[in-house]
Amino acid sequence: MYGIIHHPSTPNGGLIMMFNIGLHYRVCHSRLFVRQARELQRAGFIVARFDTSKVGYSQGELASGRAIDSFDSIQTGLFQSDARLCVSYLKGKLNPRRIFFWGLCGGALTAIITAAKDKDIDGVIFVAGPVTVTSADFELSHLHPFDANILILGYIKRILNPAAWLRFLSGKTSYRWIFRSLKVKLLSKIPHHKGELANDNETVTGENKGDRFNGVFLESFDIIVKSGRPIFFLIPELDQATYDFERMFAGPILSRYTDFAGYFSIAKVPKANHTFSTAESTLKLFALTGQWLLKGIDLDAKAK
Amino acid sequence: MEISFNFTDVNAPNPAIREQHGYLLRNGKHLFSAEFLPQSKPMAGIVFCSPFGEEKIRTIRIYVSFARALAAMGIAAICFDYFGDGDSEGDFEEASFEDRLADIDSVYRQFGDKHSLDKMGLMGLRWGGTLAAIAAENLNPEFLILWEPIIDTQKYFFDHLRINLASQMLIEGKILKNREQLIKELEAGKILTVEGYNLTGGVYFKARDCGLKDRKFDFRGKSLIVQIASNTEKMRPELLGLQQALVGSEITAVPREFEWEKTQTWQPAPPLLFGETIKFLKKNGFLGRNI
Repeated sequence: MYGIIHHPSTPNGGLIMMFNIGLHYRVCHSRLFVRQARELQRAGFIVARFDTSKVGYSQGELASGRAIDSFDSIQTGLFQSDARLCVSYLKGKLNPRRIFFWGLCGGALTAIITAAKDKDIDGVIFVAGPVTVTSADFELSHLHPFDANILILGYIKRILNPAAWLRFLSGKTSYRWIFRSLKVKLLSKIPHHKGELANDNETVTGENKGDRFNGVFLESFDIIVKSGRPIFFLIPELDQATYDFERMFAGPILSRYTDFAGYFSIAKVPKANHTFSTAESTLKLFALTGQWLLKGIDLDAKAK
Repeated sequence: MEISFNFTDVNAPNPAIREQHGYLLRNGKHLFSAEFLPQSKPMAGIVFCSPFGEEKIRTIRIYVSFARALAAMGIAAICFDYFGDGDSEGDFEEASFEDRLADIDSVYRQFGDKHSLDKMGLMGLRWGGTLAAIAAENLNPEFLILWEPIIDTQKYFFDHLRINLASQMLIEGKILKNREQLIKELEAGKILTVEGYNLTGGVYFKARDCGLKDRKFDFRGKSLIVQIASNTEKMRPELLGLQQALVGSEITAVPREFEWEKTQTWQPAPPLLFGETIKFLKKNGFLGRNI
């Protein structure tokens, strides 16, 4: 495996490990990881970005095919052994006082699943991670409620537009998409996910996994907060994953964890998409990440 | 010429290859580089020029796979990041169009000197191909490989602004500024964020105006143009035009085995594209043995 380590001029004792998004390499969309790493480096953290095996510059091979076919295995821990190997190497090499994981999308799952199994990890920043397990067939054949909402909002915005009505009445509108989005919107109002803890194999590995809650995620969350380690959920407002996060996890499940409320927090970044590709949302992401991590380091310093 | 290729294990650990990852210096700027070297003296060397923005992120694995494949066959290959891009120093908006060409020039010369390479080539996908072709005029390499190069950069960069419009639609629910207005802002010196990259007018206008369409080339090396498109029966006129401009160049077509505008297919080592390119290298004497 190959990666980059950012060394700060004045180290604060913290090491941040960043986990790549799905099959994309350590630079990430719009160089987000490079920019985030430099921000944290300036704040005194050592930051490591690496390519998990089979991705970017690292060795190993995933079979070719549809990219979506590998998402479920990433979401349930495909890269956890790579992550553990890197942590072990960096601990020996850098001897950090505190170690935090930072992961985006599939990388958020790598982060939380690995941290659950390694008590030396002091906390996790879970950014825009899906709480579902992807099924390619389901994903490709179903309209997500988040996308249905966007379509419906678009129709509503055009409701007073004569040109839109002309297209509608002359048969140029896609009626199929109108009805499909309305149907999905209505069906999404029906609660149907209990979000049981793992061990229920069907939750993770049963057929038709799409839109199914990721039990491995919940199990990992459970282990981490019950061991007194913090998790920071950073969720972008304009993202399918956030829709699922709120509907399937934050709403129905987090109320069971009131005894551990001090160990998790959620921040929603307004007007941000899945990869925080606007300047404003990127700055907000960096600011929230930095504040949370520096708090963790300061608390530790006081305790010592 | 019948050559069989198997690229399914090209990224497996290979004792016949040495990999050296690090930074090169160009005018004090640190440029990330990854060298893929055969254990014996290389028969030739090749510099891979990256595509633009997200197209690079989506296709990096193909470059890495091909670099490993070539190193296994005796060709030294180097992937690098332009200043302000990838793992290199600087911010995207700091890098000018001329910086990219200077980076290619510098990496080409340093790589050649370091490994005493007698024969060298440039290769690029999409806008990386465009830059490779432009850089070839100064560097005069022995060979030039262009994978689906951008010919009409006017259209390419104008179309690129559409991504900003899509972002406006998602975030604001409507288009607040159309492409003509965005271009006016670039002219006025504003920075535009497109797909997360901060684009300056300096880069936009230079990159837009410096294309391959109707360009007269002063390049006499061997060159290969590969059209990557679903229709392999018919060559696009713009690529045929480029073939005319590049004296003695070859042109071939392969189907689309991967995408650069989205991540739908995971194909880290597209066999047809790699196969056609290796055939060209072999036919022209840059390769001595098969993998």
